[in-house]
Amino acid sequence: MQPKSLMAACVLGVVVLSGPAVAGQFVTETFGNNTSCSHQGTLTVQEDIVRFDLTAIPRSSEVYRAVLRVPSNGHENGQSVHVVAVDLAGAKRLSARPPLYNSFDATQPAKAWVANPAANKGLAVEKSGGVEFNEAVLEVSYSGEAKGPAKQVTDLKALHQAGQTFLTWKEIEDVVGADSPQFVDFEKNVLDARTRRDVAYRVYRHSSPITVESLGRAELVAEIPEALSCWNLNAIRNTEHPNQGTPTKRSALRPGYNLALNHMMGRYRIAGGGEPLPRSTGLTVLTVREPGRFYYAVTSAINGAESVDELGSGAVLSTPVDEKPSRFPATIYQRTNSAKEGSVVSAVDVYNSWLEPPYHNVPIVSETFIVRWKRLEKGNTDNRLPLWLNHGHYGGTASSMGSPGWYGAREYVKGALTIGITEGSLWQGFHECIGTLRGYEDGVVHNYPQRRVLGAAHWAIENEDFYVDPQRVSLYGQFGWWALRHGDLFAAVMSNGHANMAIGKQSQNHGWKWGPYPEGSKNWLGIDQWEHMNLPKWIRENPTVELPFWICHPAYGAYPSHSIGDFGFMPWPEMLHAMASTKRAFAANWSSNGPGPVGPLYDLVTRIELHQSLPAFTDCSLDHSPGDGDHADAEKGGGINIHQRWDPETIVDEPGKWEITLFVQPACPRESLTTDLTPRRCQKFKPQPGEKYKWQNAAGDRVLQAGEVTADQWGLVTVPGVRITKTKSRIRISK
Amino acid sequence: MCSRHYRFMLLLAVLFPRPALAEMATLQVGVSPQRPVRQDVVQFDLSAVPRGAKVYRAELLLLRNRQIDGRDDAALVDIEVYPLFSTATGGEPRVSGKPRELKSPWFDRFDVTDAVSQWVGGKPNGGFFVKTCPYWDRQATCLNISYEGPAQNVPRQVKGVEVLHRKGQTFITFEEIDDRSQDASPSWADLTARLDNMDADRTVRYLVFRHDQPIGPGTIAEAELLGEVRPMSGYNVLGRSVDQLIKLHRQRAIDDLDLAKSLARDNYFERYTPDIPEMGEVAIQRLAIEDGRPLPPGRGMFVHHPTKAGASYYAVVSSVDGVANTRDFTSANSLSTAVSETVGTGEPVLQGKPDVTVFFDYPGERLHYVQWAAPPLANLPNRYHNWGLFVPKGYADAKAKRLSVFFHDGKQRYLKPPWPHRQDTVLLSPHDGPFRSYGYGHHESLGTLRSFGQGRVKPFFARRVDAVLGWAVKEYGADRGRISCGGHGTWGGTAALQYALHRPGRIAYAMADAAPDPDPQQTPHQYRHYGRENETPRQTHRSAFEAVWGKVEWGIEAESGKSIWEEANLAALVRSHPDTTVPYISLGSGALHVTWKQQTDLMKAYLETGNGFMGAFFWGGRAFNPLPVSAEQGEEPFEPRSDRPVLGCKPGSHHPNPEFFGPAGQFTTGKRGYGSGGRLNTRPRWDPEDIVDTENRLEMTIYSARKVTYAGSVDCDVTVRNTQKFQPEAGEEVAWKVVPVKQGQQQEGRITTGKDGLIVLPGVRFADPARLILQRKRTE
Repeated sequence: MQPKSLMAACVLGVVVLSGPAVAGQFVTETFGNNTSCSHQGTLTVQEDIVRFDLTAIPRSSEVYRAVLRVPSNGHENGQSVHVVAVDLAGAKRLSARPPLYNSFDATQPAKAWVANPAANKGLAVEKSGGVEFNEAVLEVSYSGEAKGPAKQVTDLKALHQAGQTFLTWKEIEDVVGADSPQFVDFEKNVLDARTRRDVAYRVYRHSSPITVESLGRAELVAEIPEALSCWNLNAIRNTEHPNQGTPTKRSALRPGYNLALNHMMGRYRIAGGGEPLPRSTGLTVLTVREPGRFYYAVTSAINGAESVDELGSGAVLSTPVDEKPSRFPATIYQRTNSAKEGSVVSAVDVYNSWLEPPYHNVPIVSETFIVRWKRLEKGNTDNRLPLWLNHGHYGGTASSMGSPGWYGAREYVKGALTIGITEGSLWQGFHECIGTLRGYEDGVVHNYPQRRVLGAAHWAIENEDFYVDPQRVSLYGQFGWWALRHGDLFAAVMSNGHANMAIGKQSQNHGWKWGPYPEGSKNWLGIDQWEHMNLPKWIRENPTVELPFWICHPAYGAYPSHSIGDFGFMPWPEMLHAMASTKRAFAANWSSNGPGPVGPLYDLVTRIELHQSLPAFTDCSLDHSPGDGDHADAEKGGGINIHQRWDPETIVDEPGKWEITLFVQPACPRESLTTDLTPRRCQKFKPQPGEKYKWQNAAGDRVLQAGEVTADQWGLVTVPGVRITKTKSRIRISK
Repeated sequence: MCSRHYRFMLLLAVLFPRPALAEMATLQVGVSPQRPVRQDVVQFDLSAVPRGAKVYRAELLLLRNRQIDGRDDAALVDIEVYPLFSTATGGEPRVSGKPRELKSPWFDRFDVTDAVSQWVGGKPNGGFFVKTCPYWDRQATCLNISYEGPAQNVPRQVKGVEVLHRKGQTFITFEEIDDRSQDASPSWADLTARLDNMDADRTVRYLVFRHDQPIGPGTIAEAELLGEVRPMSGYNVLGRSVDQLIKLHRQRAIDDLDLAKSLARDNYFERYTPDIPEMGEVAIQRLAIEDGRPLPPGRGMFVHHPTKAGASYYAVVSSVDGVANTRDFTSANSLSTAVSETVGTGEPVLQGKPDVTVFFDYPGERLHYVQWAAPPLANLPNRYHNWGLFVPKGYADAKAKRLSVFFHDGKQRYLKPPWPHRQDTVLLSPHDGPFRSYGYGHHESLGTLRSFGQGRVKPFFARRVDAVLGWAVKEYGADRGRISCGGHGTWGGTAALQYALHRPGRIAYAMADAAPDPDPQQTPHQYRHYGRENETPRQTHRSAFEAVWGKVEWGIEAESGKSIWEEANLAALVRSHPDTTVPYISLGSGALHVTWKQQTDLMKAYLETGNGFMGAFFWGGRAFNPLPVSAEQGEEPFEPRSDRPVLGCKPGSHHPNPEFFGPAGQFTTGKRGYGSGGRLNTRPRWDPEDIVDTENRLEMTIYSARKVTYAGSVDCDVTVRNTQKFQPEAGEEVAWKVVPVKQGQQQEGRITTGKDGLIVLPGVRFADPARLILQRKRTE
């Protein structure tokens, strides 16, 4: 509708709707000063009072719902927006509406104002949070006469899987007009349509069949923008810098990225083995919290207004969806990105998940990548595969992570089923208010991206087609050290050493995500998030908690200016010291582009099992010093514990007895070394503090070293100065 | 400095009769309060000195109201002071003869004994005409007089004097007369407050005398006054280090997350220098004159460097407000037996093991040393300089004993230098203060009343480094062929290059990056970032050089007689001695840096003369490639040695050098600008450990760094230098060949040595390991 005719409609609407209400029809009208409003000129803003004139709604109308929408531009993340009806009995502060929390529920005051216009003293803006209320719009849904009913969606269908209900429908207009458009054309068509009118699809849920009469009492569970929901925006190829190798542009459709103009757009599949959704299909995915049977309906809203005189069969479900919650969201195969000829990697299979809390604070679509290494044989019940999760690097995007070439240089863990997950930034999570109109005081920080990774791991373990060995799950991520807290899942973790965000440089730029900066907020555990992101502190304070084996090294990048310099090296020595001082099993390097000298240790990763003891090495004679945090202080070219090797398969871990075979890795420039050795993650060998143990180091029958040690206050037995060579020797500890 | 008390003491002196013995009294007289006849004339009331008394010593102290350094044209102005023997007024005083001379060795006062003697003897006291003295603080001027007479109303005497001589240095220590030095390790804030108010109530000084006879009332007048020691001289105030503060703050940030975040926001310790207010937290240690034994609280000290060997007596007397206790001499403040002395530069003294580590450090020991110095290792007597020393664990048994000198940058971190080195390397790190030296030294007039025209820039610092380096090589048994140095930035990086290149044959290689300056006279005073023509110009480091060397146009001489700025032109130095093998350098460079042109000049000079170096460039600056390269890094070992042959490689004359890309044009022109970066000579290498160097044959293994299959080979014209025995005559024909050890292409040819005997091999291929063999023809 053109603005001029809209204005005419507004005026006409005032006249018409001033008459008696027509029961049985469903109307949503908008009040405000925007030209697209049903009732333009009905908003007055005086100082902190915002008042909508709702007298156009017949007093006898039943108001079902009122939604206060405000522009998000101007709003600062974390700033609360507090609005409350003036002088209204029992009025409460308007609450932000899930799932997007980008509007407010104004139903209670709207009901009162319609019933008694004199009671309408407006809304008091106690905290604006930077929001410009001059552009506010109040959407009121009520029982009324549907004038010029909007075109309705058709072919509404439901698919329930993995605790999620997938609803699809045919949209009222084919805005995109092509099955495989280039991004540049796709964007133009979508944005052009938006300039004409703003179409959204409103998804209603009810425990009873939904009719026009009951629509107002149904729960509005989702609002889906026109044209976009079936298209995979995450997959749009993008570049770090503008026009880097291909023409790019920034776009409101996927903010924050340099998007390749010539990217061929693709659409989602919502069922394994299924075809991509047809274009102009509307899609919403609803995550089930409680089991139940629900009916659904979808309406079309033009510029926020709905006008429904009847619900066609294609816009409602006549049978309920039998819904059951699930631990993990559905992960649906989408496409396969092929490798170039000659590349080590054959392909990357891309899966999508539609996430809501607890995996993200608002609904999003994320991608999961299964790497099909050319030489990786498919597993079976007798030959289960190690699982390696890779969440990549800071700034990594779905586009880069979905590229087979990206993995080519990063096949750290050979022989493992590889899952890539991306778009986690620093992977520490963020406050649930981020990107919404909620404030820091309205919630806590959640580790959403970590939950995604954990979810993906469990999904793969439970996926019967993957034949994953749950004993051999490992993770790599530039900031993947968070996974060290998950010793119940990961046998090994590989990351950089940037494990105390409080003293990290780049993390200060992300401080706003974790509460008001620099103070911060509590997290989902009730712990100060900055404290929670101080992993060395947790490690020091929990010396008896068993951790995965940790391999620490800089990420690939422009070492040291990018991989070390941009982030700051200060957290590294603290983390390494925490590990060493509490005798945890790890190896580290800090002066290479990528794994460098710890790279060969990756060969050991798939042999390390979750429920298997680890040798923790400390005070090795070939160790280097990372210094105190200035990278210039750090010794270059070496590392900590980079030369000791062991045979995981022959570890003896029994009550009162522990044995391991150790040797010096073949490429070590020295023939021998000395190291302290502490059995860790023991399954049955459980010394008590103060217990004495004998130890010996033997090559065959020849005893090389022997002595006695006493378990420390944590029940750890540390054998000092074990001398090992490139020839294997057996270290035995026994009572 | 003079105080009001002096006039009171002057009256007291008048009350007592002239002594029968040749005792010595002292007083200090401030400027006469009467209205001056002229502002440039100062007069002193000498009525307190008995008429006709013998004046042993009279010193005129002029003070300035600001310090002068080489950035200020006033530094060129000589101070001219003339005594006046007429009280006539009107017009500029008539003076004759030369102006008074500054008294050595301190050059902080004028010897005016003859003038004062004449005034005391009855000549008209017209005062002193201070003809020129930039920034003169007229009211602070005073006159110290020692004259024949009984010392009266003297302050409490010093006691506990002890004298220790060791290797050319005589350490005189004593108990101070008050309790200002009682803390074993006060914070710098506390001590600063004390030092700033040192003379607020009374001016206490300790006068150190030396004589060839026992010093007492009858001999004090003839004794040599070595120096005046201020209270609290036992504190190592110059030794405070940012390393200590970094340690404190890093430690605290473990539990204080707000501090941690604050540090991270501020780029950690980027702004830390010894002069930031937070340094007040740092503890100041007592100086130790014997290894690891700090002076007990309460003791003051002075170090004398005798200029000739012999036996000397020492005494220390107290002085309060200019009145010295020249009356009371006992064995507690005057030696009854002489100290046997030698001449030398001494040895550094271990101060202790600094507490500067929070988490990790190189395996070994960090040690803190102090080196006492006097001319010619410093411009003044009784100077002390701090050193950091790292000694690797197991160094005594190390197969290769490397030793390196680190020159610090503006943070002056010398206790725990931020410098990558191997575990088998002893690292010496001098603290360069109180004046910057840039690997050489500073003008000898700094800190004195001399003008820059009255002296030279002398290599005080370099001599100190030479001394400690020599000591350390002996002390730790370091290999003389494996001595290197390095540093960052315009201070430390420049120092590394300047120090090394002036020491061919003694320094094997130098590493420098972050805008080291091989020719500071080319550096402008201001610059704009490349391409930012509208930005406000920024100051460069040029003026910091001028502060200690004087302006270029002044032409201040270095010790060589050349202008110090020419002395520091390292490209000219290399070119002017083409026969000399200069130390190998590993240079990190930035094409946007203000020092880019100077660095390209130096590299070109190395290329032209066939000396060995490697360079890494990027527009924003690139770190130097660290040396030596070790097997632990997955590389063939590479370590240029000063006692083994060195190859000077000039790439690309026969084949394009794949490493040399990016700013090639900028390299040629020296113009600043963006480029994609590049490397020069980072890959041609040789193994110095398996060289055959005989009179007739030279053999060595050469190779290209990194795996050849990955990085490719490099062809270079190679100048063979620093051979120890293989030294063909000029114009002699030499056969050469390259024989691959396992795989690769063999090369061979003949060359004729140049007129200087240098061997230049054309197009030598550095690829997989190969033996480079040179054979003199006469042996075939």
